[in-house]
Amino acid sequence: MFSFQLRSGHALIIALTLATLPVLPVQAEEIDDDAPASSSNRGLEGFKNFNPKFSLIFDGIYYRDNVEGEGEVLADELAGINHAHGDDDHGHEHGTLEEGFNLREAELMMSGAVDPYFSMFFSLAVSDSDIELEELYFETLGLPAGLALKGGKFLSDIGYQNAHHPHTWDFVDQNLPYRTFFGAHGLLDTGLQLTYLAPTDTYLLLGAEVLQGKQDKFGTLVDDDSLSSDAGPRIFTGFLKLGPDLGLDHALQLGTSLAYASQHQEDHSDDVNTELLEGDSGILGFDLVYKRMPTGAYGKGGVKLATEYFFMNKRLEVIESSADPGLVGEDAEGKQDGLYVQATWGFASRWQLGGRYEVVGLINEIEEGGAMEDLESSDRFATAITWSPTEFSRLRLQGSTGNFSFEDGESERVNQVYLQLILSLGAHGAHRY
Amino acid sequence: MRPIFLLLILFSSMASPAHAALRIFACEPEWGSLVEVLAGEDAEVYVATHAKQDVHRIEARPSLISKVRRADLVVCTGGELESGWLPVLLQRGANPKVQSAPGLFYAAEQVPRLEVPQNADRSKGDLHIGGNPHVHLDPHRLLLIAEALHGSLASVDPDNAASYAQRFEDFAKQWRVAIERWEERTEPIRDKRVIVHHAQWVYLNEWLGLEQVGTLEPLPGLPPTTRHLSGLVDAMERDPAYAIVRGAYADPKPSAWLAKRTGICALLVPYTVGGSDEAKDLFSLFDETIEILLSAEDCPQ
Repeated sequence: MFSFQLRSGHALIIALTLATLPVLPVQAEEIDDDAPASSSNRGLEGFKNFNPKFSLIFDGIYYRDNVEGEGEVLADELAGINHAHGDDDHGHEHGTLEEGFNLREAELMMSGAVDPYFSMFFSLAVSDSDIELEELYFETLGLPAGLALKGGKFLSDIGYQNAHHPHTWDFVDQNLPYRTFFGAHGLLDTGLQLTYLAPTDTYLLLGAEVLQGKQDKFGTLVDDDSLSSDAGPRIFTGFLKLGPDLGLDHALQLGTSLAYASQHQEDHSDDVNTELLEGDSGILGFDLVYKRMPTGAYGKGGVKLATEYFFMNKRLEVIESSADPGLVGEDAEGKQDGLYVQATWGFASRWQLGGRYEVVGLINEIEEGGAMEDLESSDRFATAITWSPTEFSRLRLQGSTGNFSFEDGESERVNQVYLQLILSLGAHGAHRY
Repeated sequence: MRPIFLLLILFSSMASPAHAALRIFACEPEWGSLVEVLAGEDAEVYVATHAKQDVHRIEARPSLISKVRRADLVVCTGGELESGWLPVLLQRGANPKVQSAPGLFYAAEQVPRLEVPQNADRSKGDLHIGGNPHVHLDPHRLLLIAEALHGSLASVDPDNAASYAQRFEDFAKQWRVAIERWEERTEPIRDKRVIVHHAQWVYLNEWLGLEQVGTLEPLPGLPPTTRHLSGLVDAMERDPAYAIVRGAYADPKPSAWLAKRTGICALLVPYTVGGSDEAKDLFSLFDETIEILLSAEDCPQ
């Protein structure tokens, strides 16, 4: 651990030193039409952007809620089929907010072209107690026929929101469907991705991923002697994205995704009894994103509408049950869905207003050993107002009110308020659609 | 759902033309026009943005990725102007032809640039470390860019090299004549002082001998503030400027505010092709720009 921290510290120092290297000044010169062509290369030095690019993200949040700071924890414990895994030793999980001042992980990013064939992306999440490799992947630049290969640890391209980094989100927190099905970070895993972009006027992207399956939610494994883990990869995804050309001022993307976890284990044990289950799990998703480009300066008049729907089906078998050994070998099947709809509007230069409605568990049922249990749904409504002084800084106030349901049948009104400051130091990152 | 997708796929593949000589993707209208001049009927040109959009803030939308996917040549300004979106298009366009020269052409890299900062410190605003990238409004620089671009066209499409060379020669001849005309016409406003909204006119100013004495933006990329504008009012009372210049996507209110308080003429200059009804190509863009600048003598408002 010590040596790792030391190395990371060095990387940081090197990164910061490199980022402050002075840029070569270039003198502007008088131009002559008839000058030889070589003269047109003068001044090129100034353009040699430092490669790789570095940036550091600051993400600070002041947070309050009406449930003694448990709002974020409760959002992870909603009634649903992925609930009750028995291991409560997480306590304050990484990324969870407490009331008052919070500093979410500093994100240190580095990216650039390796050579004409590969580009590489690296991001490290640093918090006061932890350094975590968030992403490290290569992407090919030179494959023919619209093919591209990505490999390493990366955010999956299923859905729309999944591949977006937290500092580019339109709201402070992850929406409830993603939290429920994939966790606060979304589906982030190690593996390979192959995409094919069709040579058509309509954007058509087909992609498939094989991922190791080191997950807390979807395709999670239980560390127990009675259960073994299959060799990876254990998660397989496929996605299709379609973007008709709506001219220069509008854009639309439709997508559908499928994710399959070939092994999924759950520990439903309590203090007295042991119950272990194992099986597989699948998720089907649909997404739609529409944008109207800004009509004024500094983002004024821009509109974005995004919605996603997910349906999860989990088929497990009881492997061990100390309370009722007769259950062993019985099937347990769960079905749950979730959706969110969000819109943002640049109502003035540099100002953005956003609204989001999210619900999980419209379908929410577990069938175990022939007994059927129907769980309640949970929903939440959030509004956010964002002020972006420049593209490198952003101040956001967000309020939300949710009706959270829990497995015991209880429900609770949860109100949350966030004040967030995001700062980006270093290279201007290009943002995906 | 599936039959609908298949139908759409089928439709989109039918909708694309069976054969086009050379597909060129231009980031901004000025380069689209230049490519049309140099490549003529040998190319199908797609322009990614229009004059009323702020090119610093374009979205890497899916349809642009599809256009890059099929491009034989990508022509952009470069110099970080498109750094918020072009890298995504190039990465996700999965097109090895346009990852580097000659399939990728950056206009600003072909000419010396002004306002290269001593260091890239963003407390001074959104500076570009390679210097000011808004290079096309100096016709001398534009000619250098045209010369380099016709070379790239010939490298990408050697079969038609002769016609690219011929078109460049024709263009250069006409352009030099036009430059002489423009320079003669603007003699009366040489050494005039101007206030600009965003510092995207430095090359035009340098060419015409105009002196930029202030920007409505307090720092590059920041919207005008009342305090900053009030400072300009004071400065203008002491030593008034000739005109206040803004481009098509800039908010007209700050110009109007300052014009009202100082009596200085506020001008809307097309900036690029399509920035006004008259600016249909590069020649008419410069004609229009110059006539508008001259009109401040007898302010149209």
